[in-house]
Amino acid sequence: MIQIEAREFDNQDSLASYFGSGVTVAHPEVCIAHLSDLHFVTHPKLKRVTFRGMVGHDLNALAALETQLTSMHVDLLFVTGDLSTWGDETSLLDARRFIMVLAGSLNLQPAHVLWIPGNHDVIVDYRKIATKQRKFTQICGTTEPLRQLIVKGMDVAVFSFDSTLRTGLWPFTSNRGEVTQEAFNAFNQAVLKVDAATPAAIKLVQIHHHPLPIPYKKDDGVSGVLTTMTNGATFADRMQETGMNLIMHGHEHYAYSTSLQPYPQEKPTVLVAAGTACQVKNHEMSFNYVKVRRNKDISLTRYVYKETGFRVDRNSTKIFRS
Amino acid sequence: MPYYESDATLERIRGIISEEIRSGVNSLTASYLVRKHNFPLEAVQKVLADLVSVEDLEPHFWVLCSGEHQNLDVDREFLSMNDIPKITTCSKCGDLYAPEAENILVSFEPTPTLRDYLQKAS
Repeated sequence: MIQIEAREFDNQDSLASYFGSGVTVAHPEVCIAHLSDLHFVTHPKLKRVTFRGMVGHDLNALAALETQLTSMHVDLLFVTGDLSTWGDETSLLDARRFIMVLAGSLNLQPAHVLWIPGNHDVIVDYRKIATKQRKFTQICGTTEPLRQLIVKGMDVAVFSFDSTLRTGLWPFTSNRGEVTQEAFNAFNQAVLKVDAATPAAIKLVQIHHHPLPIPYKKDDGVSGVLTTMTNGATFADRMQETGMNLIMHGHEHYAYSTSLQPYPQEKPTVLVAAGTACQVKNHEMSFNYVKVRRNKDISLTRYVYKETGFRVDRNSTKIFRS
Repeated sequence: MPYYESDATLERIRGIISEEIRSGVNSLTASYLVRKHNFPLEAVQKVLADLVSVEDLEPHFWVLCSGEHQNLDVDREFLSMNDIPKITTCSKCGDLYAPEAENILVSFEPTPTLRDYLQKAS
């Protein structure tokens, strides 16, 4: 018998002994693959377009993405908008098919796969005020304000926002996003429902646009300045005030993460931006792998596409205490 | 805390773990509970793991040198399996070894949530 301080161990305390009893000892954690901005273009005519921002997906990166993810444990798969570049039926159908096949190879139930529209997904339907007339809605469904799930015995609440603008003249305003008052109302009702039924639930948020601007991006050659939401700071403030654990978004193809705590009496909200997973002509293709351990921490690992496939970017791995 | 309504043994073990923590024991092991209370090992391990999954207990992993000296490396305490290096050097005997399931030992400490609960309940 081995003794250390007041503890005494023997073989019965080894992991092998636990495995032998069919018992797993581990902090429960929800593992999230966070993809964004796939930018599928599969329509033959649209594939010919090569100007900046309107190009399509890289087939090699897409295959590498599938290979990488199938080697990982994933409980929830998020795609935070811009599944397609043009929002056309052909590309959206193919993007949806890709995601569902990927989910199948990850053994995920359909309910554990979540997506929202991005500004590119509604480009061809931009003038359709009623969202249900959009091709995105017809192919990918409506954006549910709340989806309640159980993952590894833990309650998980996912709050989703459609931040695409329905006003202005594309392309002058399409980059910008907004959360409407109707969406805030639906969110507030959903929060009440979750807090009443499952107050200890892990609260996750997905939105396409940037709630807050990203620092230092000019240094990396990103010149866009009209890409945050018109009411992004209000949105971020409200999310932390209501106890959201994690906000995931995409849009600017620039991976970044931070945490917010305007209300010190509430836990900080971690805000994670994903880069584009597979659009060509970008400075980088990447995705995020996030592990949420309730009341403990949120760890973020970024995988970047290289010649050989997706690799962990060790410099961007962060752990946020919660 | 979970209640094992359909299994008296598991429920008894759960109660004993609460009592041990109330009495001031800060670190529990399966072997200690088996020795002291004569419970079946598998049942004790199941309850301990269940209490981890509901965040009442926190596992602490300790690495035992797999070299000939079989030292418990006191500086090597980990809160997550992911933090355990694949290959490491024993700080006591200098042996290079790869920690495996046989050489990783587990103890359990109550979380602040459980402490608060027990304090309020008493």
